[in-house]
Amino acid sequence: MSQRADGRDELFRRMYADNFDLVLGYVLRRVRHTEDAADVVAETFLVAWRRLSDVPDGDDARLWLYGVARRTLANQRRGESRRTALGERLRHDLAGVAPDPADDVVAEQTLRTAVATLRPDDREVLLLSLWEGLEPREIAVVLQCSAIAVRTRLSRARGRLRGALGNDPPPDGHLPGKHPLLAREEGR
Amino acid sequence: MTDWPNPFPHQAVCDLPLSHARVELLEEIMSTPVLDQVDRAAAPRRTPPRWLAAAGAAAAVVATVSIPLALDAVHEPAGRPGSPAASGGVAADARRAVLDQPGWTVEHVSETADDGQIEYASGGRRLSIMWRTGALYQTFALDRQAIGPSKAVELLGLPSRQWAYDASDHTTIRPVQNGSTLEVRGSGMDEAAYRTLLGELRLVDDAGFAAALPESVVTPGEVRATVARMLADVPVPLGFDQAELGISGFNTRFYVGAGAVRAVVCAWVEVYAGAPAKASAALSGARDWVVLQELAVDGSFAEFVHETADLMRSGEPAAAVKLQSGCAAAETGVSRG
Repeated sequence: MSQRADGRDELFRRMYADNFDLVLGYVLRRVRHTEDAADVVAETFLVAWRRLSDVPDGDDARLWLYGVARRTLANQRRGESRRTALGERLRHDLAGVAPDPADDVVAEQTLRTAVATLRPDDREVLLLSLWEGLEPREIAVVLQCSAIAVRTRLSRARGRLRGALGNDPPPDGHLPGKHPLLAREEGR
Repeated sequence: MTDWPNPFPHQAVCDLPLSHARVELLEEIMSTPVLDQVDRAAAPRRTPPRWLAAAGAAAAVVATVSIPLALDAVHEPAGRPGSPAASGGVAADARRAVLDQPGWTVEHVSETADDGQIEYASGGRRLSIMWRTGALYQTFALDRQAIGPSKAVELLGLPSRQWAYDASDHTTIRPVQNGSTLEVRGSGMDEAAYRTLLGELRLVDDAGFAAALPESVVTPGEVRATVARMLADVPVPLGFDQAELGISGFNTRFYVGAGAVRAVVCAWVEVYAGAPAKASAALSGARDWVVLQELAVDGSFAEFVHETADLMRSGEPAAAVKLQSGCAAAETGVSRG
């Protein structure tokens, strides 16, 4: 194998190691059945492997991968994605060990139901902020739209949830507690 | 406050016993041929700007940190709002800060009664100045402890705390003075450059802030006239009062326009319950509204209007339109979450 190929392999291995859990988490939070995450994760990293030269360096890779995973998820939901031959063991292991989000307690189900009333774009903006801890401008990279559009959608999503839950979501940004996000200009 | 459960917190994902599966998948993927041009449509088209690397790195790092920390480790405010010690000779309404440096331009400004932000950019460097009501000081200072150790620095004359997200991304929180606290974050520059910029900041009162802004920013005194112009070709329901929009502070035009249009649309959503044809007709011409063309330049806000119009056109029940449009809990002013 050439040195160039070795370098490429090493680059991918490092990127994979750095981002596997992040991408898996992103996908697990969005699939109905945990084992379905295996296909999306496999497809996402397969795209990255094929297009490694397009993957940004360092932590920017995460945003790029989220963008790919998001589109792969969308295709899966529309029934357009093929069942990948890769990741069979991951599928098997996930089915065996990961908790199923559908088994949430009532309070969580209430929130889940409320979130489900959001339009897909608004929901994704909100979840990227709350769960992935992204700033509007990072979300904009994932969704390929402007940061201002993200802020608008975030505001709209919060308004809807406020109406649906009769309660305020937590403030945007770098939150205290278990989801330490980057506050900055979040939500504006 | 509503609990926001994360069904799969990051640490829980990391703890999953998937080591064999992840290695197997890696090898499977790397055994496939490399086809540089496939799946292009599935990937983002844009490469994130370099400054995002810093923020991304910070997010990735802090996401794995267990947070609980003692509040007493937070730098305490130097004084209480309104106290002589806290005021330090600073004008009571000097709660904002600005940067006057050649090459730095104002990217956006937004403000509510309680908080606000101005963001500057210069090439790949960004400086965000955020002011907040003093009641939020402890919340943010405690939260920033999760970043890591902090340094004692002086910011605008007060002992403050500085954290480093990484070598090119720093933030500093200034304690409460005159009822407000400041946070300044600089990205895309090293600490020395960041600290230099901190030294160039100056506190400003309302007049000073207005003077430091580009003409394009809408001042409180300009809101009414600006909204009137923005809504000139927008049909509004009988009784709609622009004075009740609740837009306050200094804002770039997008926020003023978005707040005004949102209020109009939500007013029509109210009308829709009793006069669906009238409301639907009012929004049917939204694609021609000049203000939406301006807002569309900055994002997809127009989608909100068009999708609401589509809901009405398709005869959705009033309650569904209200919920799906986001008007169920509509605020009449600029809503920033």
